Amino acid sequence: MTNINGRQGGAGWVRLILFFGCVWTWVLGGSDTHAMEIKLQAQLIWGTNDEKPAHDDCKEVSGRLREKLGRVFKWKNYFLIKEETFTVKSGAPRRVKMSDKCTLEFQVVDDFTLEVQLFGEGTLLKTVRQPIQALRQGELAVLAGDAKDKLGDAWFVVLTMPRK
Amino acid sequence: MNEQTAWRLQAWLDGELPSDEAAEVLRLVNADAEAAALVRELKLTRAWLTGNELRRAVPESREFYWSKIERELRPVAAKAAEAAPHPAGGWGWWRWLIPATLAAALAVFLWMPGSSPPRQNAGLAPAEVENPPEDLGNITFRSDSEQMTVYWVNNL
Repeated sequence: MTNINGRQGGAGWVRLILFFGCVWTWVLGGSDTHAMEIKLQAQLIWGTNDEKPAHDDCKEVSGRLREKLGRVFKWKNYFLIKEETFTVKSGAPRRVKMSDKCTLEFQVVDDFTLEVQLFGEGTLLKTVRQPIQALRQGELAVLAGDAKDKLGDAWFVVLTMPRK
Repeated sequence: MNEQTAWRLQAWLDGELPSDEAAEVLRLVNADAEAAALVRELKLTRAWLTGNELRRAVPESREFYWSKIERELRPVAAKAAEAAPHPAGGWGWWRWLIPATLAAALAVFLWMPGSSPPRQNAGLAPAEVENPPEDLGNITFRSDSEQMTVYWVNNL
């Protein structure tokens, strides 16, 4: 009888440990899977040495971004074609169309990583994983390339995390 | 005027002669019309070159410009490596044993508990880029001073 009671008592402890183990695992796991939401800004920019292109509604990039672009690249003029501000939630990929040719898809991979996919006319061209913490600290992620339509020009998609 | 004198005149113009020799050359220039003419011509040439040299501006930053050159050179180097003849015979099964050993070591390393990399630096680690096979010509670079990571895509 005592032996049986003793075994039952041991099983109770095991159950208790398993219970707290599950709770602990859930708490730890929760930090990776909790709903995360980040705010982003994407700017489609045209770089050229010519004057303002034929896009009616584009405006010249100015301020700090213009200075940064000017120090890394040496195009004379940078024109903002389109600007989008949006949020991306974990577990919910977000598509943003920047132009007829260029679409971006954003996905929060985990607390640390944002995945950006660049599609050109529906075809996946590039997948980039960007540290979220770096974006929070002001990092600029720039997807760019030579313009196929106009020799010598370039396009830029500048991704930033806007200050709240 | 011989060639030696012409060289001395040029050295004098460039300020390369010691003071006693320079004084001697100055006397020569004052006395000899041919030497004076050569000095004038050399001065004129120098002025033209320094004042009218064509400055070619590169439409990218220095680091980006050189990374493009590196990108162009890389496929050539890869092709050359492929074209290089493999050492004949002798290798035999060693050729397979080395990669098999490496793969086995990697498998053991991955299997070992606690061998996964720590994540505490993940937030600030350099951006990780996945490249499909078709975009091998693309380049990525980071400007620390501007806090900017650039992914240059060639195929859009």
